[in-house]
Amino acid sequence: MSRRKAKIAILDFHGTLCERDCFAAFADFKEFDPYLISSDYDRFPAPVDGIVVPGGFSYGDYIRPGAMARTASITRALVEESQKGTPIIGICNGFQILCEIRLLPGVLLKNRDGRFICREVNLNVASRRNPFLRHVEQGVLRVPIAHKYGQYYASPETLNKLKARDQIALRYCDADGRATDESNPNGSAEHIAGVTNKAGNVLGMMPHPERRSLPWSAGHDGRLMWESLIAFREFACAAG
Amino acid sequence: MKYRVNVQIKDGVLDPEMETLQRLLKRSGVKGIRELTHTQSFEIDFEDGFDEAEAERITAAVAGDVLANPEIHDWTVEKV
Repeated sequence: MSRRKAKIAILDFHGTLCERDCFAAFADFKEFDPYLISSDYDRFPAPVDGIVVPGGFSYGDYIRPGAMARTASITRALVEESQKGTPIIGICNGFQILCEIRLLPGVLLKNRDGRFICREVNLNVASRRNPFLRHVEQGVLRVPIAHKYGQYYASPETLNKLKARDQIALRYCDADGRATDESNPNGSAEHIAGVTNKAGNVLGMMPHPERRSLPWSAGHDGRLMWESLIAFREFACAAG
Repeated sequence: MKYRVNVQIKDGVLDPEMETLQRLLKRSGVKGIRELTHTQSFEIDFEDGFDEAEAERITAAVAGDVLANPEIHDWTVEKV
């Protein structure tokens, strides 16, 4: 089967900072053809095999982190791609954006201690419905967080729905995969580090897998998520 | 034609800034405060002669879509 490279759109809002790290992470795979796209565009050039909403401080975190992204030209196209089933991942500020434009449930509040936290965390892979996690066999991933607004919050009703629909993708945990209070760095409800939408194709997560992805990175667990997307696409092609 | 949008954190949602401020005030000797909350206030001023019904519709949309997040905020809109 001849196979073209997967086109990965990496979104660049005004104030996004991590787009180059994400680009480098995907460019390290022969299977991916990543490109940067400004949020001033109103559509993604076809084909789109995956979309990354990177971290940073889009629009200076004005109003609330991620809130201003709702006004960007590309946002409508992002919502349309999510409805088509395109795999989408939002990392850190990207997660905050996906919540604020209501592609994902809940919201990211200021950390429980009110402080910026930058350190390594362990993540329990709680659900594999999303293409970036489906083929990750490792149960615990070790990647860094770097945020001030990372405390996941949703109403009790929303949290119950998330559990019932298997939308909790990643939980903060200890090295053995147990979600303990000590291993929850920011006070997130249900130790949530990442959630998916109802359909499962959109994933938001506060930790940064792209920072543990390159050969010279301090760790390589983030790489497993990109490998999962490759395996997912192969499966999708074979099924199609 | 001007509208004011007041946005406040819902009851039960943690506000670390206000908790910290309340704790510090208490530590510095201030007594009697039961709760300290914080409201953001926005004013939207429309051009002269702009359609009032349209202005109200826009204000409601901007308030609920951008200025407030329904998951964590209560908000009010008033004409000023």
